[in-house]
Amino acid sequence: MPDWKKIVREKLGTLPLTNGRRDEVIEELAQQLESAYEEALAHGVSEQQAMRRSLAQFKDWEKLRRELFHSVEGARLPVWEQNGFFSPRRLPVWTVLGLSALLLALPVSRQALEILPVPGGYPNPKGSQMFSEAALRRIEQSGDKQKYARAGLHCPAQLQRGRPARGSSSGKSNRA
Amino acid sequence: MAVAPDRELKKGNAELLILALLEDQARHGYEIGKLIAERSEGVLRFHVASLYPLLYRLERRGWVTGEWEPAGGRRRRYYRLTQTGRKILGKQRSRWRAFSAAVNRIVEVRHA
Repeated sequence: MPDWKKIVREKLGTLPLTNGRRDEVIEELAQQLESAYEEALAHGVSEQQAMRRSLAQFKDWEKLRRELFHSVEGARLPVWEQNGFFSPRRLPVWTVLGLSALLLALPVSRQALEILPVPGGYPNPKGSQMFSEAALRRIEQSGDKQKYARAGLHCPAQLQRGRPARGSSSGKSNRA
Repeated sequence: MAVAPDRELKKGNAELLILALLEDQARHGYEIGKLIAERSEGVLRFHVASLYPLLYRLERRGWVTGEWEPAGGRRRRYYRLTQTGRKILGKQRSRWRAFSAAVNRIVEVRHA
């Protein structure tokens, strides 16, 4: 004989009913399943078939959870209780999401992935290394405003300021 | 062949069916579901997934009370009509009679 109470308890998950009503609901639904199972057996059906028939009475357990809660408590099932968002079977998903968020929160990871700028971390020496001396000179000579924008600079004066970040001495020597 | 009644029609009268079955004696959920199918000769079938939420709703409204009682070596939750439930049943029954009589007057009469 299947443990119907255990089956119903697992299917209903954390149904937050007050005053011990959850246990009563579980017992009552388990009895319904058990009676249907016994009736099927009495009709000469195999145990497996009887179990399948019995469980087929409740097709959508999630919907049943919502309706049971609404009927007993007179209110909607809280959103965080719906669809088993926080049920034990979803624990690995939440763990992975939590760790990913933690990883992304670390400035080192964000810098490495170049997803989000770290406040105060840009422009930095590494950033200015993205353009070589020769490239910066070409941009300066072209006078192309779009290229200035792409380099993160707004005018040739800024270009001059941004260039010495890595090799200020070489910049001075070039102008000289 | 029995024609499956409209879902809405069934839904609207589900309360009346349950209250009527509890009028004479207390019954448990499984028995209520079986009786509805038997007495309607299979035309009306209650999804048990709808039956229990409906029973709990009726209980919350104070129309029925549920109590655990021993039955056949185990305990079962039996539902009984309350005084309020009995009044509601009376009202719903007369409304149903008026409605079905009105429909019959239209549907069953062939005009020349």
